[in-house]
Amino acid sequence: MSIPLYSFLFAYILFLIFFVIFYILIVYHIHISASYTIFSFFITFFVGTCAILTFYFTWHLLSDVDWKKRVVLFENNSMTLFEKPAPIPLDENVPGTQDEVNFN
Amino acid sequence: MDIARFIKKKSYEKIELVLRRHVITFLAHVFLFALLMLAPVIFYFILKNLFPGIFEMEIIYIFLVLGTSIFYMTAYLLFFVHFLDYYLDLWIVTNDRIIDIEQFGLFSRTISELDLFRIQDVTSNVHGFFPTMLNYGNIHVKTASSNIDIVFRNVRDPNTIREQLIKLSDEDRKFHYKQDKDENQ
Repeated sequence: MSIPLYSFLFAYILFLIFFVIFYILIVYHIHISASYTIFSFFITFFVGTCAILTFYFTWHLLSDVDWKKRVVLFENNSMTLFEKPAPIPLDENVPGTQDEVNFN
Repeated sequence: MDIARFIKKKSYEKIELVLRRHVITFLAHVFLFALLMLAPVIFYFILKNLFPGIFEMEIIYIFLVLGTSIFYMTAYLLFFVHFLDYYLDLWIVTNDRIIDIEQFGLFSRTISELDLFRIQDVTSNVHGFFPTMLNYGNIHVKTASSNIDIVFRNVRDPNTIREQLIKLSDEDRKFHYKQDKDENQ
């Protein structure tokens, strides 16, 4: 079974949405608690900037990836569960694998 | 929203003190945050030395980059939540009452109010090396009733604040006594 590489991006985007929701929630808490001061603004700005920079570097590092490529998770050949495995072909050039060994 | 609107300040009320915990109590979280920031860098160098070709494998590279990004974003959120927990612990003293706002994490907050004239006892204590050097500590405000006691945790200059609270409490008691006397006459 194989999946395209961009499947992993969906999980990452889901996490980013989660991050943005919580960030907005915290800023809202600061606002409604009358705690919107220079110090809280600085921390909010610092966290927001760090998040944006992290996202930018992630995008930059992954910009050369071919996301349409498929990655194999596991081999799933169900026919091999019920049939005898095919005999391994013997190599004629390797000594010992032939029926008769010629000592001459 | 400003503090006056937040506490629904009455017309005769005047905000005397707005207190927060000393910034030193937040420094532990700053150090933890700094350590979390360094962890992926150290992990990168360890991986590079142990498995030199690991970053050449595309799928591993993608997992490491996305995983590191998620780790850093989670660290930022954790830091921000700890900041919220620290900064939203607020004590507002007016000439009429004390309002104690304590934030516990992201989804829990307790607000207590206490009229100044009900204060019976104010105790300040400073324990430990750093509190003594940096002059911060706790102030316990007790009333006659055992229902509500307010504790100002790790506030700056607790002795001066204690004296101010006693003075404000005396003035408020005199004001209420005078009011009662005028009503009875």
